[in-house]
Amino acid sequence: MPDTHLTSKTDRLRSAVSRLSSGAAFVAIAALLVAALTSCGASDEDEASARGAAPVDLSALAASTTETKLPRAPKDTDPSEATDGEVVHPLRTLPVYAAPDRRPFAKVAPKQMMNDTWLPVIDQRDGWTQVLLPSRPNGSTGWLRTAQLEQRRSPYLIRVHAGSRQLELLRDGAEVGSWSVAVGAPETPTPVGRTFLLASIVDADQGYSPLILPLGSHSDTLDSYGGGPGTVALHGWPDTSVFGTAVSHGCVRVPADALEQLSQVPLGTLVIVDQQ
Amino acid sequence: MRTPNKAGVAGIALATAALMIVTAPTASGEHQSGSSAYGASVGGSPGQPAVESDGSQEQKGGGQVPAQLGPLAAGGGLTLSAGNDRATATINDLTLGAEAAELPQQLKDGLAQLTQACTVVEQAAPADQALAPLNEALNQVPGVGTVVDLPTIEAATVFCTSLLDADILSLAKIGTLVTECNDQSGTVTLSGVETLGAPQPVLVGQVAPETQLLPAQLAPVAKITLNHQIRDGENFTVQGLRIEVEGKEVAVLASTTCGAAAPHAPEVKSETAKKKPKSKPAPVPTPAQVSAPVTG
Repeated sequence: MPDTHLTSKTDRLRSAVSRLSSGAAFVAIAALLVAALTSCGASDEDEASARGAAPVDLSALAASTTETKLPRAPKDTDPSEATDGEVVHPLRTLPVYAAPDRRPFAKVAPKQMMNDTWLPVIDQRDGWTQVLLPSRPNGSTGWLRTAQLEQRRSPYLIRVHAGSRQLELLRDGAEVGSWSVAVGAPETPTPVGRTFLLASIVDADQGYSPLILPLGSHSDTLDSYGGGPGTVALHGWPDTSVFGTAVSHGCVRVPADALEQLSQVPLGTLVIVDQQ
Repeated sequence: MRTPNKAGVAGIALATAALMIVTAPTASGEHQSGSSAYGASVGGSPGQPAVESDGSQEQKGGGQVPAQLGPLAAGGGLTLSAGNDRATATINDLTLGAEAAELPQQLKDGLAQLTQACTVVEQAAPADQALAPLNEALNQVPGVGTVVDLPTIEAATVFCTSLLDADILSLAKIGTLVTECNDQSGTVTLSGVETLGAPQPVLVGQVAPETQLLPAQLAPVAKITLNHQIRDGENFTVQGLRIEVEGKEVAVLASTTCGAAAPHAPEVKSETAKKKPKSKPAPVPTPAQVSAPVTG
């Protein structure tokens, strides 16, 4: 800057500057950094929401359930990775965020299919918890505020190997049991990836199994099935000849003893389906 | 006959000595601990470039600050080393805020207007008349109007004097930033610090842990921390410079970690090491009577 700018007035202010210029300079840097970042990335809406000025209007948000689609939900980036078994229960209906401190895109209620909602934790940081969601598309995730959650741990992990048509139940990493099961037919395959036990229900309208364990995932080929949204589930099947075959519409049909064991597994427990 | 015997004895002695040397650290209770260092991490991604040592041998590396830092930081030669429970990460000639050329056009236009408004502040008499146009100009710069308020002429002149004196292409420069961890302690040392073109001698030398470069009231919006220290079990990490925006880690520069497990010790993955006390067991579900068709 040319010296012509250094008038007597600015000279007079130098003492004040020496006291405060550091702070002012850093304010300027911070402002520019924030400006650069926000103008490169987040939308105006996100920016406004991030400032937390306005309370969240839950009535305007779609509920994350097995019935809904949430196209704005972040995708699970690690769909074959086991977790440490942490699961969380929303203490009330909560907003679901695409990222910490961003605009909520959905809400999640404390109940799903008349069961308590338990969602698997896939990441946690600085007061925020990322969970898998029960909505379409498969692999939907969202962030919740940790302080608004009850956190527990499931020692179990369920692995379904669609290729070998096997289901493994693990407890603290050790195998509890392994069963030959029926998986989705080639035209209606069981979706692979990471999902979870969403509910435990007895459905008088579905006579094929005394207990049905709906998962958080949905058929990739059927938008709906039997009046439902194509929810995939673990359940029994009266004809034992199906086990070891790929014949279902996406659900995993399991033997009676497997179903009995699975009935003791907490909701929210991770289910990893692979092609092996 | 004596010569071969002597040679044999000498050989045994040498072998024994060598064995003692090899086994001495373990026998005396000393042990090796690993360490690691990296240059920059953007948005929580793995740091790069990076070096890691199991403690048995010092590893060295270096390179340039990754280009992904974009407008946050540029330039900067990196020198990294990691050895037995000691690691260093050095960045030379780092520019924070980078070049205005990389900033969005709207931001550049806003800065130009702001600079013009500041010129008026310098020349206005009485100076108070320039406050309104200046704050209006501030609001034209995306992101700035919400975090910078200049309610008084003194605040305005301080802000503008800094801005007018600045080489705007170099918002902040750091001649050298050295981060070092040594077992469970660490230091960050700076030299040649300039902000908006003005030397900042107060920031030269070793900086205290958790030194905040921004006023506390800006913390919800942005935090720039020098010498951020993290203890995680046996690991001790020193981050030379950490930038957070809206509570999220945006970038970390010059980070070192000491105390990683030695290879002969039972390997403790960070996932396990970081695990909090286990939560209570989740409840066994009680089936609900409900009709909910599934894919069958």
